[in-house]
Amino acid sequence: MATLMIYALINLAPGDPIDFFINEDAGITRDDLAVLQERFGLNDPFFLRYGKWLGNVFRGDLGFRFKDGQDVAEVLKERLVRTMILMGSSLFFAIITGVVLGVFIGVRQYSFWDFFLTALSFIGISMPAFIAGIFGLYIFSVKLGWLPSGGMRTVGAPGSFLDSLRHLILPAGTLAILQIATFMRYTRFSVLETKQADYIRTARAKGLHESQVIWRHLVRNAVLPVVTIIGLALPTLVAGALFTETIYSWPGIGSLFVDAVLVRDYPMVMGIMLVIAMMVLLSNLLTDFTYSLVDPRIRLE
Amino acid sequence: MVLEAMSIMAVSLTERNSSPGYKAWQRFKRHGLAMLGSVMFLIILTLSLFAPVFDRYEPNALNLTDKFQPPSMQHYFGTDRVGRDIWSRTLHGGRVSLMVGFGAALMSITVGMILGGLSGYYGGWVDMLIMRFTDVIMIFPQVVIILTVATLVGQGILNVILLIGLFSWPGTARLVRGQVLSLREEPFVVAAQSLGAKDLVIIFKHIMPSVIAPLLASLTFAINGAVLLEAGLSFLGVGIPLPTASWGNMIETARSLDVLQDAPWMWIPPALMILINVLAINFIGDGLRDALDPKHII
Repeated sequence: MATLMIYALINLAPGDPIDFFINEDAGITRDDLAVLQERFGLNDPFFLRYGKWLGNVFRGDLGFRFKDGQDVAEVLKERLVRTMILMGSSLFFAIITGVVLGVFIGVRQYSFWDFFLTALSFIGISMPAFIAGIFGLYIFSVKLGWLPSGGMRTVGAPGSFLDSLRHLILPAGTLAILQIATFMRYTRFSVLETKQADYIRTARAKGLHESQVIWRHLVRNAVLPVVTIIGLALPTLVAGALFTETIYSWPGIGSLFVDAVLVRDYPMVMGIMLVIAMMVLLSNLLTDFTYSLVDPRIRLE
Repeated sequence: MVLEAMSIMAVSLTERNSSPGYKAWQRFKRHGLAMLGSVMFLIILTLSLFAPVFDRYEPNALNLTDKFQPPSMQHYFGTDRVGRDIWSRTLHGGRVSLMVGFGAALMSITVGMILGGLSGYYGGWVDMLIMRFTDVIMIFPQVVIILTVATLVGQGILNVILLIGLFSWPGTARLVRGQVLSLREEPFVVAAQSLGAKDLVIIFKHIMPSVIAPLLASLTFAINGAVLLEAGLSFLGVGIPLPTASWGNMIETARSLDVLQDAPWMWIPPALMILINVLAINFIGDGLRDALDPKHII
């Protein structure tokens, strides 16, 4: 546990990306008055600036946006909630669908459904979020007109839960495609592997009904390891959110990041990268934790 | 089925040429999806490599009288806003996208091999340093870090290749490190050491050939990753700059609603090309992984 903490701390100070942001800060104001540089301490040595910044970060002060002077931390808080809604619902949907389908085809190896869904999952893992997003937008919004094309709620209409849900379906679905495919493949593999286990043979040998063997002995043991790959989904979810939020103009941190990067709003970019780093680290920690929870033989040090 | 498998095994046992590479090729050939993927990929590669043979118009030539045309016999896939032929642009875009894919993948594999090799062979503080560095890079999803740096260094094919190559190696480095770690104590390495071979010679001449097999499979996935990253960057407008066509910046046109709505011919071809290409390479990669695994049973 201690090593994990130290690891987390070392990595929490991403000296590498901050490096050139701070240098670039100076670069931006190069044409501006030297007075301004002096006032904001941009002429200070690199480590001093870095130290100051880090100190501010720990006090929860992420600075102000270049764009409009809004407080970075405030904007982040608001946006993060929306991204969490998107990622959370997407992940939830993906886990349920992926695991159910994975079990379904796992117990029916080499059946029609197995081939069909495995083929689909191949397409799923090959489909980048922006292509899935464009196709989703084109088919369900433009052609069929079933779902709204973007945003979080209908402009001008009183917000309702159902309205928000309708706006959530396309982006969350787009984001979920890759995850569904991943979870399905992993679950299928896990089921196939568990089938070989001795206790399954024992269960059969003692004359249990096949459905009991499958539901009580096979599925329970096969699904458990899936918990451990949930944490690994987070980096791909973040990457996917970048594109999904941009395509469906979902006002979360993904689209905010793309905007901020394009206009070189460095305090905002740094803030978001910090949040992403923390999220990924947290999910790594959670993954390790679930490993030890699922398999007590693996101990956290 | 069983008989057939047995006869194949019997043949391969009597086969004179039974080097590991040959056996792997045999296994690869029998992997249905891998062969399908290879055929698909070869078609795309041929179309892209020989784009000037198959195209019918200059890919960047403007033709304002024929702009925004739906597919027809003159323009197989129609034309874009300024009358450029989509069929030509899809082919030439494939050249750019595949070039980025191969270039960046080779680069990331090379960097990963060097860093992973040094890290695994020397251990100690070298290992510590390289692996911490790897961890830091791995915290951020690739798109996030590359997107940030891309806006700093500017657009361009070479920049995109360099960026993707420079930020995609951590996976390879870890893989190589693990392999080298387990091979370090092998007799052939100890033998080379006792003969006084230099460390670098041992790492790259004696150890690396044994690591090539898993690297080959990860190379295919690296190509896919690079093709997708290029497309993603171009889609967000920081990848390959216009007028040069790439699959990514062609799809980017779909971000304006009128193109998405009224001109699907402008973005469906490149989107399908990316999808088919990634799928094909995934199949090949899977086949390679199965074929190159020495423990694999036919």
